Amino acid sequence: MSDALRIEGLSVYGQGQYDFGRQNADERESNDPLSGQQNTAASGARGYEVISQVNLSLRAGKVLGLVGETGCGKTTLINSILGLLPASLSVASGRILIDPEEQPVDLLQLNNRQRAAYLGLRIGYVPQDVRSGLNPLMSARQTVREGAKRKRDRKHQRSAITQRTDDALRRAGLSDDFLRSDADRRPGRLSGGQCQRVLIAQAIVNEPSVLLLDEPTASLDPTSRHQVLETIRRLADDGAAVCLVTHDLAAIASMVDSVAVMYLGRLVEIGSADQVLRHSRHPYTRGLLGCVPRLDEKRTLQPINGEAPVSGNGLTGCRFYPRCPLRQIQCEVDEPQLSKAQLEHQVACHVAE
Amino acid sequence: MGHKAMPTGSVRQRCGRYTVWALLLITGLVVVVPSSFTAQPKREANSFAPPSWYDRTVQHECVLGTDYLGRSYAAVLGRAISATTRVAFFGTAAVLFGVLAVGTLQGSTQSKLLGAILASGNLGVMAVPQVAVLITIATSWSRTSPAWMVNTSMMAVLVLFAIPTGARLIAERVRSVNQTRFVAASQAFGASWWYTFRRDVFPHLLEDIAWIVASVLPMFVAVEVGLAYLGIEYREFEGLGRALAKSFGSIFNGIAQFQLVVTIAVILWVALIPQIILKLLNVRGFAEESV
Ligand code: SF4
Repeated sequence: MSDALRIEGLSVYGQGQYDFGRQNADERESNDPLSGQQNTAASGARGYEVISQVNLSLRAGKVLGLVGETGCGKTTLINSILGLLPASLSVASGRILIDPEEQPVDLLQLNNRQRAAYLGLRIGYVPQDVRSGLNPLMSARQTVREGAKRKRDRKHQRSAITQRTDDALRRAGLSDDFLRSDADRRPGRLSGGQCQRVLIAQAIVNEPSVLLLDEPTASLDPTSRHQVLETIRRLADDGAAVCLVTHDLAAIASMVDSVAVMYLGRLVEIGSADQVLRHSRHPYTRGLLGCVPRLDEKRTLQPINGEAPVSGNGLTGCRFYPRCPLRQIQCEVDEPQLSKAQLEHQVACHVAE
Repeated sequence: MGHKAMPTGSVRQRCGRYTVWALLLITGLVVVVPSSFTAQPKREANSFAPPSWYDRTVQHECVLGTDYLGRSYAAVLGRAISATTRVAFFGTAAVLFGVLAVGTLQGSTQSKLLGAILASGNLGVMAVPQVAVLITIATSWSRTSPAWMVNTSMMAVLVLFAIPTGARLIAERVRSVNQTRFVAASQAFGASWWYTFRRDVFPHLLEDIAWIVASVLPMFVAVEVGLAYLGIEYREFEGLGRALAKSFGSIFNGIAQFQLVVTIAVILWVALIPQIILKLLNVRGFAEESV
């Protein structure tokens, strides 16, 4: 399977204070270190660091789980791809290549108009928060239809758009019954699971090769969550390259192909789902897994010590150092890089290496 | 047995509702096609004549009697409704345009300068009595000044006074809608600013627009009536204010008293039309789902 999207050395910096206005309500209300307190960590001409030197590939037919605590930079990474960074953040370096193996196009070099030719058509996006992701004044069908209209081709006719709209709703896992009786309802009259599938249908209506999902299961009940994850898996099996942003490790464990773990804007571990979730090597990943409750095992959950700092600025060495149970003297001064020795399972940790 | 069925509450309600719609329709027609409904009455009398029930022009009794110039008062009132409502509609449209343009600009850009101007404008509006400004402007024009200039300047003052408050309301709504995830989703779909505004933002402004119209239109009616009643008016303009003043002028005549009551009722009706329509359409119903 080939890469559908590749991120190379992406760094994002914030100027001055963090733009709280553009942060979403969930992040504001959560213990997000970027929003829970005023960020005064800006230093130097470039401001504070939000994402640093991220390299990542999304493969056709595969699901990549992007995990980490709230505020670690997952959503910013997605927004960088979509060109939706708030005015206070800017990409300092790196490339985001779509179709990197055939006709690579760097999305960061495109202006808004040029980028619009890819968004919604080659790249599908499912926003966080089921309820506010849908326009409350538009019916489910209308929402997906608006997305379908983006594809301007010979079939840009009413009947073709209607056909593609209903197909997308079906592929997103909504039944014919829903299409008959509920598709013309507004989101306020749909369940959380149905709303999430409508969002997915909107994202896939033009059959994009890359699908970015930001916390798609965050507010769903277990049944809906399972169904939505199954739908996502099916879409990947149909050939889409999927990036699933989440902090729900337990939910995604059985359906992702690979996992990338982010901490304070850096990738700290990346590998296959089995390697990262069952044989994790980075203390941070282990800490995250230690917070996941299990039904088959009675155990005390062990949260990671302390809270993630507002930004990595001012930290020398390993960013996880202040919270790491395995830290050593070297960790305080030498910043660990993702190991090159094992390309399938890379870890940024002096001890794990 | 044999009892006549009394109309139930819901039937009465429905009848009331149909009556209000019928009245709205008639008022609308009077405004849109005034000449068909209210042919310009001839000035019959060379000098002022007391109002009477008998119209000498058509040689039969009139519903509302005749005015001080011997014209059918129903026709005079029809013309007055048309004239006042047109001015009020025009003024409201100007306010709405200004409010939407400024509010959308401020809500989208969050400009500190524009925000400060709006805030100070708002304070100014609260601090300075609007009527005082209008009277000052109207009296400061010389007697020979063209009437359209006097009216335009007064209209401009009314529009300027109404913009800051409405614009802040719209700006706040635009800002909050722009921060929603469905707008982010639209943008992530490559939607242009205009598309996002048209499809995602504007429908959420409709409720505010409805309430702005409902508060601004009566203001224009009230100001026109108030100023015309005080004698500050464009001479060729026969609005509801003039009708009120003239029927008040013959207050000791029984017919004029009746005409005065009818005129006041018509003024209240015209001023409250937007609120009545909002009530009938139950605007809150669609607003519940708005952002
Ligand atoms: S490099 Fe050191 S401080 Fe960082 S995670 Fe590894 S052991 Fe912990």
